[in-house]
Amino acid sequence: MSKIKTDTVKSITRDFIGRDLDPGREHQLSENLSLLIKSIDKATERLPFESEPIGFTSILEKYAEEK
Amino acid sequence: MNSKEILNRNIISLVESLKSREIKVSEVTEASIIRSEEMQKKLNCYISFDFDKAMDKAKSFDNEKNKEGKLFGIPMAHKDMYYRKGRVSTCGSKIRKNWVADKTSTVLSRLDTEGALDIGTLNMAEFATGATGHNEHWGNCRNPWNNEHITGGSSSGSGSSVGARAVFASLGSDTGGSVRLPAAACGVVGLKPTHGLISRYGIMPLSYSMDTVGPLTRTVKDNARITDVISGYDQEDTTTSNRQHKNFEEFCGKDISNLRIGLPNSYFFEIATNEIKEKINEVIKVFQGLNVEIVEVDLPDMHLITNLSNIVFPTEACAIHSKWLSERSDEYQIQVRTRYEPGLYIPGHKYIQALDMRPYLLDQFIQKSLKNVDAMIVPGMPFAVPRIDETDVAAGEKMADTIASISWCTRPTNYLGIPALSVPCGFTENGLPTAFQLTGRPFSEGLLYQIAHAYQTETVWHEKSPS
Repeated sequence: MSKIKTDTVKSITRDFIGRDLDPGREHQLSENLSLLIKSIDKATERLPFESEPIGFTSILEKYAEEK
Repeated sequence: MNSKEILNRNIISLVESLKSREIKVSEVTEASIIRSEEMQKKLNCYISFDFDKAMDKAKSFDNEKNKEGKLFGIPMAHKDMYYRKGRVSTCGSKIRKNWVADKTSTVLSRLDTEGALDIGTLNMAEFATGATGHNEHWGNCRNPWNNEHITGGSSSGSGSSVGARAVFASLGSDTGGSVRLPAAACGVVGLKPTHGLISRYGIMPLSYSMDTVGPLTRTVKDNARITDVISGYDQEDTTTSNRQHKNFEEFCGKDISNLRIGLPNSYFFEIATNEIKEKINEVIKVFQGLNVEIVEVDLPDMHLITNLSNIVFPTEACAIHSKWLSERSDEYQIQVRTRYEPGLYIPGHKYIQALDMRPYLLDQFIQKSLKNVDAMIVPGMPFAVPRIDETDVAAGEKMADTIASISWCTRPTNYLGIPALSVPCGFTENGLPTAFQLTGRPFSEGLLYQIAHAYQTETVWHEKSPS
C-alpha cells in the first residue's frame, strides 16, 4: 500500500521550497494525500494495462452529442 | 431611452438597435461606464478601467457606415487574466501586479472582430484560485444583490459586474466552478464549456487539464451568441477540437417537448439544503409543464471523481507556480499557496494515473447517467449564498470543507470535461439568487442552451435586477 509519510512531506518541502511547514500541516498533508493515493490505487486496479491520458479526447469526440 | 433602460436591454436586441442607429454606441458605452464607476465603489468588481479607449472606439463605431458584427458596440469587461497585448494582466495577484501581456488572447481577438468593446479588467480570486470572491491583494469583490454576501469565485468580478448591470457580458474561467459559482450567486447565466470547445490561448493557466473559458450574461440567448463568437478550433491552442461548431443561438427557441432530463439520485443532493431541493423541484415543475420527461438517473462514484480532480488540480497548479512558490511564497495569499502545496508531494505516476482514469470515468458517466437522457439537472450552489464573513476562512481548519462544499456540484464536470450551464432559478430566503445547472454529453452546448432558453421563456428570474 503506497502512502506519503510525514517525513517525506518534510523532506520535499525543504528540498523544493527551502523552508519548513508547520508540524501540524505536515501531518495533515501526509494523511490527506495518503487517502487520495489509496483511492487512486483502488480505482486503477480496473484500468487496462494500455491506458493513457490521451484516450480522454477520443472519448469526448466519441460521445459528442450522440444519445 | 434612459441609461437604466439601456443597461437592462439584452445583447441581441441592443445590437439591432445599435445597427439601426436607433441608439448610439457612445450612449450605451457612457451608460455602462457611469454605472461601472458607481458599482465599483460598492462592489469592487474592477481591477482596472479602459474607459477612454472604449469611448474612442465607441465614437468611431458611431461614425462608421457599415455597422457589422454579432456584438457590435456592446460594452463588456473580462476577468483580469485574459491577455491583451500591452496591457497589465494582474491575474488578481500581487506577483503579477505590473506584468504586461505580450500577446492578445484568441477569445478577446474574436470578440473584438465582432465589435465588442472592452471597458476594463475585472476582479478575480488570486490566480483564479478561490470559490468565494475573497482577494487580499485587490480587496474582496461583493455581491450586487447584497454586498455583505460573497460573489462566488473565482470569476468574482465577472458575476458581480454582469449582475449589477454594469456590463452586458463578461468572460470568466472555470477549473472547478469558477464561472458557474459567480453566475449562480449573482443571478446570471454562466457556461462551463466542453473541454476543447473554446481556445485558452493567451489566458493565465491554472490546471491545464481542467481549465475552460466561459461567458457570463443575463440571458441564455446572449450567452449562446457569445459562445458562437469565441468557440471553435484555434491553431494556437492544440487542445481545441477541430469539429465544426454549431450555431448555438439557433437552438434557442427550438421545442423541448419530449426531451428527457435526468435527475441524479445521489451525490449532487447529498449536502443540498431543503431550500435548494425545493428550488430544484420548482424548476422540474416548469420543465414538466413543457412536456419534458424527468427521469431518475444513477451516477458512478462521484467521490472518486472529486478525489481524482484533487490530485490533478494541485499537481498542475504546482507545476505552473513552482518557481514562485519557491522564491516568492510570501506574496501569495495563504489560502492560495496552501491549495497548491499538495502538488509538491504527489508522485508523478499517481498524477498520470489520475489522468488515465479520466477517459474511463467519462465513459462510465455517460453510459450510466446520460445514456437515456438528453441532459441532467443538478443544483448550482448546494445552499444559499453565504456572507463574506462566514466564508473568511483563509487557510484555517474550515478551508477545505468550505471550498469543497461551495463547489460540491460544480467540480466533477471539469474532471469529466463535459459542458454545464448555470441558470438562475429564483431567490433563497436571504434574498440572494440561486441557480440550477444543466449538464450533458460532450459538445452538447446547443442542446443545453435550447433547454435553458425554454426555461427562461417560462420564468422571469433573468429579468430581475438588483436595486
